[in-house]
Amino acid sequence: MNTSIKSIKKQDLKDRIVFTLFLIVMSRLGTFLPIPGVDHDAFYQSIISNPLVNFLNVFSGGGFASIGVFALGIVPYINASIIVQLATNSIPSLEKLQKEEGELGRQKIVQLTRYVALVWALIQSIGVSFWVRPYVFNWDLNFVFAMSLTLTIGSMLIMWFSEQITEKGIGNGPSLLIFINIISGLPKLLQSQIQSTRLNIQALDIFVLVFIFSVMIIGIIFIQEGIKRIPIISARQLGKGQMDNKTSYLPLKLNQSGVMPIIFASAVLVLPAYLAQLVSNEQLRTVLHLFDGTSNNKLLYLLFYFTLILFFSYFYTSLILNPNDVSKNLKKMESSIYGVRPGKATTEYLQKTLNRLTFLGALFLAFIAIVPNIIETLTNLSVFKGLGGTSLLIIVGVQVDTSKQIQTYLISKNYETIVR
Amino acid sequence: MLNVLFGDPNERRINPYKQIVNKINYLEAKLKKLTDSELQEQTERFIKLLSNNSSNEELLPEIYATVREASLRVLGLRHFDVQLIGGLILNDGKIAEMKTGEGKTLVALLPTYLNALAGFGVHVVTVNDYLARRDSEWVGQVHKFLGLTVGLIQEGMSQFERRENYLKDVTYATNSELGFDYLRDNMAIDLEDIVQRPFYFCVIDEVDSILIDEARTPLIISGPGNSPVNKYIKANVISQDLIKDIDYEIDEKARNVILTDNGILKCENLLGNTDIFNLQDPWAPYIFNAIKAKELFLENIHYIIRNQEIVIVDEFTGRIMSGRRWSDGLHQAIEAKESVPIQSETQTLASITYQNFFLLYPKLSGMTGTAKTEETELDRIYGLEVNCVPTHKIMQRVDFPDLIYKTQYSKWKSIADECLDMHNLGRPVLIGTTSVEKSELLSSLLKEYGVPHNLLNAKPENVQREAEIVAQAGRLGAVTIATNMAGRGTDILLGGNTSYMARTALIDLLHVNDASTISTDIATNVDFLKLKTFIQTKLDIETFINDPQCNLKLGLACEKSFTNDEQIITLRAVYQVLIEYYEKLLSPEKLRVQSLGGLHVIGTERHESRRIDNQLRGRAGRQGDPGSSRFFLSLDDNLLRIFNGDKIAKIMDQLQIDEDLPIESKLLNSSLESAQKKVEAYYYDARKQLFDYDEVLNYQRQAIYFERRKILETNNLRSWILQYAETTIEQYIEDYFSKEANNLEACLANIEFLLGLNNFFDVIYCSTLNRNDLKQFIIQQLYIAYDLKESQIDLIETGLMRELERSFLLQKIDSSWKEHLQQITILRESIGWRGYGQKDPLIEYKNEAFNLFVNMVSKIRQSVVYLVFRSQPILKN
Repeated sequence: MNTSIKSIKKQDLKDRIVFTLFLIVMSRLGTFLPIPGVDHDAFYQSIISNPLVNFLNVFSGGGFASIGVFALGIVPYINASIIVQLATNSIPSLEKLQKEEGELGRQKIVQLTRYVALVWALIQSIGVSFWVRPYVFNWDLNFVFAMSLTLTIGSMLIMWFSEQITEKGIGNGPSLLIFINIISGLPKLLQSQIQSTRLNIQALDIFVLVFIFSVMIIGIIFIQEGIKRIPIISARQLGKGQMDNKTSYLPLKLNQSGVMPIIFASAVLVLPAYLAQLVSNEQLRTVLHLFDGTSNNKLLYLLFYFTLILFFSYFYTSLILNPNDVSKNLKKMESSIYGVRPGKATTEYLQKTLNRLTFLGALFLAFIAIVPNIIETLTNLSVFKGLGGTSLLIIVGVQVDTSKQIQTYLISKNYETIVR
Repeated sequence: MLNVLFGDPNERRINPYKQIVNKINYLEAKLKKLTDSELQEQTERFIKLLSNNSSNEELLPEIYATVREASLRVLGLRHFDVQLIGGLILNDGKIAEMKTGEGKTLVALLPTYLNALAGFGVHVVTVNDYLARRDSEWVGQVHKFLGLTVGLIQEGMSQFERRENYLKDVTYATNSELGFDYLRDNMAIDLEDIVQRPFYFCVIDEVDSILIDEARTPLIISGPGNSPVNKYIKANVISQDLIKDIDYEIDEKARNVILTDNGILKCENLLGNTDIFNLQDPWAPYIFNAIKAKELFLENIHYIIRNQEIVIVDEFTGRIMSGRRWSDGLHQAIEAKESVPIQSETQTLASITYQNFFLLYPKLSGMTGTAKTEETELDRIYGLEVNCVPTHKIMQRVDFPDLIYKTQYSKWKSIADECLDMHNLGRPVLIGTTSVEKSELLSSLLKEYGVPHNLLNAKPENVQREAEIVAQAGRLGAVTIATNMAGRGTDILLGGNTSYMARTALIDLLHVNDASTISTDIATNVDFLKLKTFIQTKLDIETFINDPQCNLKLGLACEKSFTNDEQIITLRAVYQVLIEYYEKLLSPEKLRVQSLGGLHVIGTERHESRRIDNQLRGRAGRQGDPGSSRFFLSLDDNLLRIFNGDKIAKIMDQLQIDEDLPIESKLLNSSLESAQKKVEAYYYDARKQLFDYDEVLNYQRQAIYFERRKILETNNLRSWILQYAETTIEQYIEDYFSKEANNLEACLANIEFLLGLNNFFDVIYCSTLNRNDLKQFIIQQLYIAYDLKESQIDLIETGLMRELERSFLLQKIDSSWKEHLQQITILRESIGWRGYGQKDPLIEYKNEAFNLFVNMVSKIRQSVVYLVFRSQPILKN
């Protein structure tokens, strides 16, 4: 009895970390477990130059380069989460489920996300099994069936891993898996970079590299963790005469939307390249190439990218944070922003603050996103481009969150020694 | 499906116990041969064997067999096999689910005796004082017979009595007494004042009520605060001017009010104020509370007014909770609304939730009739597994399907019809209502129908008759309307409760001299005078009645326990005569009621959880009696309306039937089910969250209480204070060395201020020292200063310094803790906003709470040191 309560109370941090590591290793293992029936060598040779696949590769942990059982990785689940999140913000019945029905409602949302992930994984895996046709020894309906089944199950398994990590391990499962996938691509990236520039690598290059890298990391931490604290006062606080409370505030992030604007912008940027393949008019194609980053003059492309990120920052922020909702919730909690009248004034105040924050945050975000391109143009070092602003943002975000969680676990142990 | 493959999981868990029960049964014959004194010697033997490292498991069958035999000899009650199983489940630190009337009190004897042998004290927790006393006096005799000591804690006992009783082997107490004693012990300023021993093992009766229903209400010890009475009154006036849905909205689910923009303007106009959240002259808390008092807290549902006082009615038990008050000014707002005197606000000095309190026991177990539905929660939060104990006789109750009506009106009409039918048939009926108000509504309806009935609710005049009403509730044609009060622990015997009636008659006999004034029907049927004169020959009635032990002896006379007391023997003889009479009188009635189908229970509304519904149903069909139950519901019942409003409204539109006919629709039934599940999930969520958040405070409470206890236990606190001083000084110096703008002068000034010294340190000299040397130098000075101070203080009286140290320490810890509790409450309330910054509020809460705690601790250290060094001896001439 005694031990059972204790074990429930503080599931040992060590156990959690070991559990998490175990699942991470398992998820890595699955990406190297090749799917039968595919000529993996031929496949690898052909896709190594395909930029689109490379992009996918970063997130699924290199699974695509060899078509492992876990090739789809966590991506379907992440996409499903994004879809469901967007849906809950725009469909009233889902919104109610999320906000008013407590645990049961949230569980239903999670369940819905899983189903969407399943559908996504199915479609994607069928797509993949058609796409690899040229490299398959014996392509027929049986193969399509077997392959899509394998990939879907693999993806569902990864999803389960991620949920287990969130629940019984440390950190947020899906983010952690993406993080691991990005990290696992790093050595290969560096290797290829060094190979391509072996002949003229210089100390200065390394210095510049390290310097820019540090600056970028600091910049990212700044926009990721940057928060505006809006002091809040509640009726209860007033009743108790606790006015100078530094802990009650509404934190608004500098960058509310995370990496989403970059992802959306990248998705849109693929369009010109795709269109360029379709059109036959030479002039039009040149114009399109100006936007897809393949022409020599990158200025227009970068400007386009930059603007898109700004736009999507505003768009996504408005989706996930509605000042009117916040204002209503404040009323519900019998609270008010310090010095601002409840109701319409509060909504306006929040909108104004949010607009300013988003503008600043979006500028930083867009800057971080295009810096690798600028560096490449200036120094011919493409390490950062391979890594990308998105990846860096994710890496930093996950690390900050996970380390914070670990610190919090350690806190309960401190109480025993703190008093004296 | 799985059950077919693997068998009933509960069965599998119970099976090993059955083998032990066989062993116990086998030992029975052997123990039967022992004389009383030989049986009593068993206890000594067990204690010796246990201290010689004999394992519990080995001895268990014999110990249980001994208790069973002792119980048979003392109480005349032998444990059934299923009761032994219950006892074994409890001993394993699990929850035993036993149906009503299966003798839980007797079951608890087994594990309490076994665990009390270790000598650390065992607690048996009951829901009210009456049950605690009854159990300790009744089954406690078995423990006493076997040579253990039995204690009892009751409301109003002195500290001395409490300590005495906690020192006993087995102590019976209510959950709130235990909890409050724990809190008071941790506020004690003298070791002598501590009444409880460290916790060892406890059996909780009605465990689901305490760990689940009560989980959301913490135990609070509070001290006086101040409250602006005028504001409450003015806010009440304003709230009356505000109009629902225009000036404010109501969130019934969260039990919250929301002021609209319009409402805010109106308030400000009425107040002549520009901002109700103004820091200097805040009105928001008073207005919100006034609106809540107006809309969400209603007389005869949530509270009753007794002697110009607002008394809370517990929503789960239907009982009044004297002395408890709603917090944060809500109680005052209700007092303003009802125009009764407004009492001053209170401030929390100490608090703990039952969840965390009972988790302090290294071994915990519990009994209840209804735990299975909350199995996962009990397991996940408390690590308590639920095992169902099979009933002794097979349960015969029939649960009829629900009848659902379109409106409240037709529902209540049908309930009254059903009562009338049952009454005419002669079957006893128990109607469970959810509030005082509704019970009175039905009562007036039945009066119109001309159905005689009893009303049991929290109103003082009805509470007094509770025992009588319950005792009569099983009689032929009896109709009893009750609130949830008739839920837990109410045992309704078919044909009436003979022992209760005999007991009342016995009391009447003692108190009344004239046969004609006796209310009960014994006067005409039993030879009243003969009994009276019999008593008079044996004892002097006048002095006996005035004996403070009178009630206790009367109680004992009505039990079967062995006694040497002459008076008790006399009374018991009379009691036996009366019992015989009533049994003869009532046994045909009992048979009649049984043949009619036993007690019929009517539910008038679904409760927040199926568990409470089951409690009500469980009143019928006890111990294999026949019985039935039915719930009457309507589409506008609160639960349905709040939690499944949209769906119900849709169904309403589709149904075009007569209002008076009950609706039968699969769709409706499933939506009903889902509504109740939603409520359960909603509250589970709330409790889980409370538990997760409370964990932090629990760590902090334990740390502070541990420190405090150590201070009480330490004689000489000199080194304690010095260590506080050292830590504080080290902190100052660390700060000085770690910060960029290092100002040695300010740092030294801080230390001087702390130690009450003026321009003591030489800045130039100190600046030549490195970190460690500086620390050492200052700490050296600290010791010298302390010695000086001590000799100075002790000039007045030797040992005064020691007293000063202790009192400053305790005083500062208590006041800082009080402050801290308030800050934590505010933090808890506002931490949810962190979600908007995409932070996990729980993690943020843990970190912020930790910072607050660290700050509090260093503040305690600083101020204690400061106070000690600043105390000046004032010599009186």
